[in-house]
Amino acid sequence: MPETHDVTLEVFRYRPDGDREGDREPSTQTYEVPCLEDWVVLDALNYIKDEIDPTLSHRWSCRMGVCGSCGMMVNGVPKLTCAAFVRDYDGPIRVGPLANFPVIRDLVVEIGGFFEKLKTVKPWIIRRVEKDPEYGEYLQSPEALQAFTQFSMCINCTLCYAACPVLTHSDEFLGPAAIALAHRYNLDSRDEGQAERHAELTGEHGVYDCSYANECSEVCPTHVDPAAAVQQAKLLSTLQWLKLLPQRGAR
Amino acid sequence: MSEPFEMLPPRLPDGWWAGHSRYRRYVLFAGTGALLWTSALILLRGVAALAEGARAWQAYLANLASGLGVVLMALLLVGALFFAIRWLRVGVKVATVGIGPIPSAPAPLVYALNFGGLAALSSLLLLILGGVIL
Repeated sequence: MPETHDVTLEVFRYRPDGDREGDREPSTQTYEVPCLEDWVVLDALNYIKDEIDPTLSHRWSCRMGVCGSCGMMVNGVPKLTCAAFVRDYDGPIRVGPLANFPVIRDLVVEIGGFFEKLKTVKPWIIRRVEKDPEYGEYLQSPEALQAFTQFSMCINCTLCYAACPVLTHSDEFLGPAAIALAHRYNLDSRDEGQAERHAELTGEHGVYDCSYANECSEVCPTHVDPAAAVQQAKLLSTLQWLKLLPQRGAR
Repeated sequence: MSEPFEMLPPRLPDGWWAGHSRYRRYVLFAGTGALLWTSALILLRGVAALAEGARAWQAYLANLASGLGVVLMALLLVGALFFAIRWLRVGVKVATVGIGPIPSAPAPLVYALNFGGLAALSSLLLLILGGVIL
């Protein structure tokens, strides 16, 4: 049998459909979990769900840092729990739902608001006139690809939203990931949609709400560096406002 | 159809706003706004003292040279440097990545230009204020 060691997990609980007294109030429940050396926090949560307390709710899917489903606050820091090794923590591990999002149940948050914001910046390639497929694909040089590759690595895990102090105070802020993805398409040589994204990106709750805490970049599991995207988007829009740069897609 | 359950409102990050060093740095950064506002008031008071005449101006200078005035000036200097250095780091973050047709620059060059520029500008202002030039 592989060797295990007991780890204490202090898990946030909220069960709005619970029958017992106190279920409907947020609380913390403590579990002792026999962890293997290579376990991540998600493994410990799955153990609790499978072996100790089936009422615990949490989200997960791929277990390999790709799907972005298992984001939670681990000791107060937004983390993908599939990438947070238990052995890296001393003492009890506090696990809570992502900050800055409404909580549906236990560790599950409502991220629909994020996707609504994302839609407003049209994160897809926009062409003024679509080329007929028979004329082939839109070609792109390696250099042009390099211009936006970093920002295309976003997996919509929303850790950056949980880390952003601006969103703590104003949930109307467009937020790091939506801006990074908008910027990703604005930098894409095949795209002609800068003008269509301009109003949302530079409007009242757009890039200029960011006061550069840089927390989004600190917690990003795929090193997108959303803080850089936001600052670059500010510069780009300023240069366009000064007419020093053309705006692709402007009529 | 089941009854919709009530969601909890968004929760603050644990330790906000002083629980983590990174949050403390951010709040300090925001707090430099108060120092900049203080600087502006001190300068405005200086302009008013100039308008009031030589005695008022001398009293203004004497206040600045007092122990409290020196401590305040030192605090303002630290706050201004903290603000400037943080923003210069933003400049590095922006300039080391190409933006559309704007080419990228190597990070060491951007660092040198940013911080060298700050040092050069500060030196120039000190020379002007010290009466060495102009």
